[in-house]
Amino acid sequence: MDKTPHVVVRELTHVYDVSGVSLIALDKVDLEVARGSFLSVIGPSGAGKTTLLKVLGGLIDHTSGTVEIDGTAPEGARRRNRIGFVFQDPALLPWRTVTDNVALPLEIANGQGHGPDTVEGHLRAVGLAAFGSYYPHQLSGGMKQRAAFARALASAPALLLLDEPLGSLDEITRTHMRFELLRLWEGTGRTVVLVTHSVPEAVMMSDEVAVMSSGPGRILRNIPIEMPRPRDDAMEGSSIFAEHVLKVRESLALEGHRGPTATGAGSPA
Amino acid sequence: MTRSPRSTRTEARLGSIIRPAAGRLLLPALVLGLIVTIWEVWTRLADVPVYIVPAPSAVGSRLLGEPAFFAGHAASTLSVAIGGWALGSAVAILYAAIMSQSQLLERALYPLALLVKVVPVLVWAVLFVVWFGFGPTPKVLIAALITFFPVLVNTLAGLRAANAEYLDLFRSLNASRAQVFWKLRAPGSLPYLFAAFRIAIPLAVIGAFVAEYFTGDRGIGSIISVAHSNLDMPTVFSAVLVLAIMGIALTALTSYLERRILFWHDSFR
Repeated sequence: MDKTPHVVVRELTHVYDVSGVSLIALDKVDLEVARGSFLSVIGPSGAGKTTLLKVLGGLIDHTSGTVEIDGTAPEGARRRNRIGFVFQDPALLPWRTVTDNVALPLEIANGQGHGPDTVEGHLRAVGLAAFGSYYPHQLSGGMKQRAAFARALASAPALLLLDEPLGSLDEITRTHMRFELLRLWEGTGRTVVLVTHSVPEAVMMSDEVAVMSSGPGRILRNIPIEMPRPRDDAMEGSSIFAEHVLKVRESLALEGHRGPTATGAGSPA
Repeated sequence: MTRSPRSTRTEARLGSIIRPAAGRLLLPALVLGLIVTIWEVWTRLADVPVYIVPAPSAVGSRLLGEPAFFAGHAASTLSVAIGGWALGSAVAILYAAIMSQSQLLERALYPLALLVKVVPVLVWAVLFVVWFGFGPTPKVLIAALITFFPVLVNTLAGLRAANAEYLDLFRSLNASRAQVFWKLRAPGSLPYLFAAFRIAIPLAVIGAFVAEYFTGDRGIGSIISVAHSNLDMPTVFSAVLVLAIMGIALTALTSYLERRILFWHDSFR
């Protein structure tokens, strides 16, 4: 497989204009994501994690710096349907059945028709094969989020961008779904960038954890996670897991002690 | 996590049939029965002249004495009301769809809609009679005019209401403007549209009635107009009763259709 990184970010800066005041969301962020690897971005609220993800996905234009997905701009990668998104809110259309929701990317890409077989395969992969004719309001939170994953996988994207996809689930479902997600991803060769607030989640799932600071958003450290794959829940008690969790927590604590600094905003309100 | 939504749904459905049958129908029927009884006793004891307030029994015998007469005129009013509602809604939905395309279009077209709204209905009634004579056309137009504005305002709000997550999703899937409109905004505006119908349908009946009262030789409005000048109060009251039944039936039908079509919406779970 290709050795060039899938995602290359250089000196990415993004400035929001909030009613005349400039807010620096991302300040000279450098990031590389190897092809087929799983990277988590962790950091306090307001560190620009979601902004970073939206820039990678070509949903917003960044202010300066370069962002390349497969050597092209994110906008172009998005247009070739190379990017799949899962948000914290499952964002299933309530008037569509689970099957029709999962079929949405195919429908949008090829006009009307979609192969029911492909959709069924994705539903089976996320354990919703029996629920294709259900409507979102008939599903639990975890099932909804699985449907959202099936939908993201339906367009066969090379890059998956996950914005706290497990954030709205209860702790038990959440822990369980980490491993479900890993099973879905393993062996697909897809690159994943996950934004999360949970240190154990980031460590358990990733090949690398990027720790961000807030105000303005910067990447403080990249911590490689040297744990074997496939990962399973037995590893949660292992010392190697505990060491990595500690390492990430220390980096985050470092950020905490720094305290909130001047945001670099244009003028104090 | 794999609760079975089907069984909970069946229970909920059974409950929603049994309980409202007792609560929603029995209680109002009792109240109505009480009022009618007091009214009957009062007119008899106080010897109220029939040309001031007729006893319920007098109204009943008038209504049942010539059911075809009332039914025929009711059909006329109903067709004007429904025709007007359909026409007014169709134009309003189209107008809202055009306005929703850009701020510029909204700014350009909204004042015109407002102008139609602020001119008193009676002025339009006079103009329509001058332009279209005394046939059904001016009556349908008046009912349409009354329907137009609430449907317009609500449809526009509905088309604009798509939340940020859905818009991000559609953007990430490279949806075209037309796809965003037909697959997201249009179905999302349906709850708003039905809210408008709940207001507009009774208004269309009133519009039809007013039009018939002033210009008609047919319909409930014309019956009341003629009976009123003859001090024929049993006929006036019978006509009012028919109008009320019509309004209630149409409102119930709207609610029923709303429940069937918007089963996925928050308000019906």
